[in-house]
Amino acid sequence: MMSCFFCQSLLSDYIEALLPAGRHDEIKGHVEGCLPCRGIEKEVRQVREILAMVTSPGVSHELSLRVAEASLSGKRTWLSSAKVSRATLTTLVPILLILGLAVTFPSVFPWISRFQPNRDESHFVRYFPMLQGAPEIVEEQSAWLQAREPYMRSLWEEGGLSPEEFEKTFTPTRNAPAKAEAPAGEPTGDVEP
Amino acid sequence: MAARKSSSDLREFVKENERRIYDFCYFMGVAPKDCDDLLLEIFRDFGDSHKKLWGAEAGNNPFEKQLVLFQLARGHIERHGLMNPAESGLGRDTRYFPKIETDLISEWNKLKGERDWAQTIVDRLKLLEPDFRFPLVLRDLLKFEDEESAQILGLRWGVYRQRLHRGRRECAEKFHGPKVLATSDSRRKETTRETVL
Repeated sequence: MMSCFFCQSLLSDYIEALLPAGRHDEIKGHVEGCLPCRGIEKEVRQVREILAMVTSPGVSHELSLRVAEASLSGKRTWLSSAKVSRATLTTLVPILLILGLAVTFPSVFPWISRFQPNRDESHFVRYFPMLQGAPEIVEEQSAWLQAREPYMRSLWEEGGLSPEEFEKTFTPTRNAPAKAEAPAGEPTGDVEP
Repeated sequence: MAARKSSSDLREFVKENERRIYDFCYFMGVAPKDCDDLLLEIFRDFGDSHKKLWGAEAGNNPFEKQLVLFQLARGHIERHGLMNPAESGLGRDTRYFPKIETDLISEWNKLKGERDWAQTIVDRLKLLEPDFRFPLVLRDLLKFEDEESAQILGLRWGVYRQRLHRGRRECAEKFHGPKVLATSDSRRKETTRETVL
């Protein structure tokens, strides 16, 4: 006994008489006895009939001439609507993706701050010190150093020796007798750093 | 001389097939305003392929040419479909079609007398998935043989036949419209419940 599922999956082949004779008779017998399968067979036949009658509006004479010309010339129009939309899609999607990432993770894309004029400018100075604000920073720092210079020891002194002391210490041939005559309170090369 | 014969062959072939290609695009759901552009693009590509494949030769197998032409058309239609949001399969299909409630199969005799019945049927065809619409259009609307349709679609015989059959059944469902579908669904549920009980 044939199942309805099996019969229904072969109905198109049955209608177009593509099945072997034995199978064809089997389906014919099933369809005659089964109401749902008969309904589906009728529907498929009706669909074929309806579709066979459908027509399109057809090609106009002008279009026909253009088609003949296009096929013979073989030239491509670079600005057809399909191509423009395809190009737009392929370029816009990556750009939007990168912009989205830049907006979501601004620390990964510092240059994005250049396109945000209303943002806090300290970010800009931080990432581009040479473009804006650098002279002010340098001036401020040098003023700070100048103001404190009288109270500061030189960098040489930080290591324990001033340039004069260095010279005194490391020119032994000329300063050797002077070393012996040096006053007791003066620092010498033997001073601990 | 051979080149001239080749171009006259091409012209003749294009004239024979332009209507079918237009129908192919139209029945596959390409809007009429886009059909013209698509047709020009298909034949432009075919002109290039013709030069490459057959060169100055003339009098070659017309079926081979037709196969190449329809395969090109299929590619173009598929790409065009990808541009169409309704075809991309993302989200619900919200296109508006007039007379979507009408049951075309039971009211077929009444509908035949109307002026825009063909448009109504093409609208219903647009509701089918492209995988099912391609074999249906090639076989039942453009009247290609099964072997030719399968070759154009690049499908094996069994796959092609199955898609054609499923396309016809889906098409019948779409022709019935949503009202009949809803009632048949509820009927199906009732029968299932009865069977279970």
